[in-house]
Amino acid sequence: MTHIHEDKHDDQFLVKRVLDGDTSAFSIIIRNTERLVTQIIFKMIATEEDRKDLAQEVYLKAFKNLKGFQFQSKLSTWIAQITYNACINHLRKKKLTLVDNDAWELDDTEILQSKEHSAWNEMESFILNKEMIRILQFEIEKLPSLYKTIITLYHNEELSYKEITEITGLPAGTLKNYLFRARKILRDRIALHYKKEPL
Amino acid sequence: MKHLTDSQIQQFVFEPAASDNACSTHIEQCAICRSKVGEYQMLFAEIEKLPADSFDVNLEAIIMKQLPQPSIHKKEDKMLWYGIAAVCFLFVISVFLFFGKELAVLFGGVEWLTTALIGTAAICLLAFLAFDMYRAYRVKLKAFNFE
Ligand SMILES: [Zn+2]
Ligand SMILES: [Zn+2]
Repeated sequence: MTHIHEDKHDDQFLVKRVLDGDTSAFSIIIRNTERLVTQIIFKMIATEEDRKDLAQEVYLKAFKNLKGFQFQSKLSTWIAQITYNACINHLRKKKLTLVDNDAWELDDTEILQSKEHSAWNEMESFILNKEMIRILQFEIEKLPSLYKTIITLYHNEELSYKEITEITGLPAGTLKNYLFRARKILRDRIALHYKKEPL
Repeated sequence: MKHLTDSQIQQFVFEPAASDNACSTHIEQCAICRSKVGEYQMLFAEIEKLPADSFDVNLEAIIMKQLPQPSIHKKEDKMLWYGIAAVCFLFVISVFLFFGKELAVLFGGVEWLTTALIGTAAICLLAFLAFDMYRAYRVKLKAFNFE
């Protein structure tokens, strides 16, 4: 808990420096948040060029609106929120969807097949197979953008439910529901892969 | 035997604190549910090890180039302060260097250190007043939109 307090302290110090005209302090803010911003953009946006443009847009926006930051969350959460919203707007403009793309949903027969758990009995050899890392990345990539963003924020960035609801604006119940569904899709799909490509 | 739902299994794996005892008892006794638990554990252990995405450009450098330059006024004010401090310092030093003896005579019994202190305090006060006047002048200029 002291950690959170410390971070808020650092946030206040950095924000004050930038607002006092010390622009160089903003580069520290970029360095502190770059990883999180990058994860969200890469999971939400598919095209390389758009990703770069969005990252710049996010930080210019954060710089411009820094005066309005009220320290109600961590600075990193606030910037992640700006990132998420910029991505949503971008997807909207391009008429791309967040979740309701049916292509990724497994049909029931596939899921039934994957329920044979004997396929997973030799998980250790599965883990040793480097090919599976590639398959894992490929399957995450195939998830709807919102699902892979949530999976990454929770499992790779190790953010709490509270932080992810702040970033995405999703109600806690919905977030949890999406996270559970995303995990299940991944598990089912990996099981299918295992069956199709025996070691 | 009624097996656990997928949500119960995920809860057990990812939020054990929020999972109830009945679930863990079932998992202990049921090989099928236990194997599902194992799958989630191993799958997400691997996912958490995946490398983070990163840009192939230096984002920080690109963004810093686009930021508006820091306000010039603030820099000017800082320079002015340093200037005043330097002048004060030089003035005090030279007064003591050139008029040391005369000052000692003038202040009679007063000790060197006290003289130095009074001198420095007086000069700093003057400098501060001057700076304040300058600031007030700047504010007025701004009010009249002369800059
Ligand atoms: Zn900390
Ligand atoms: Zn069971």
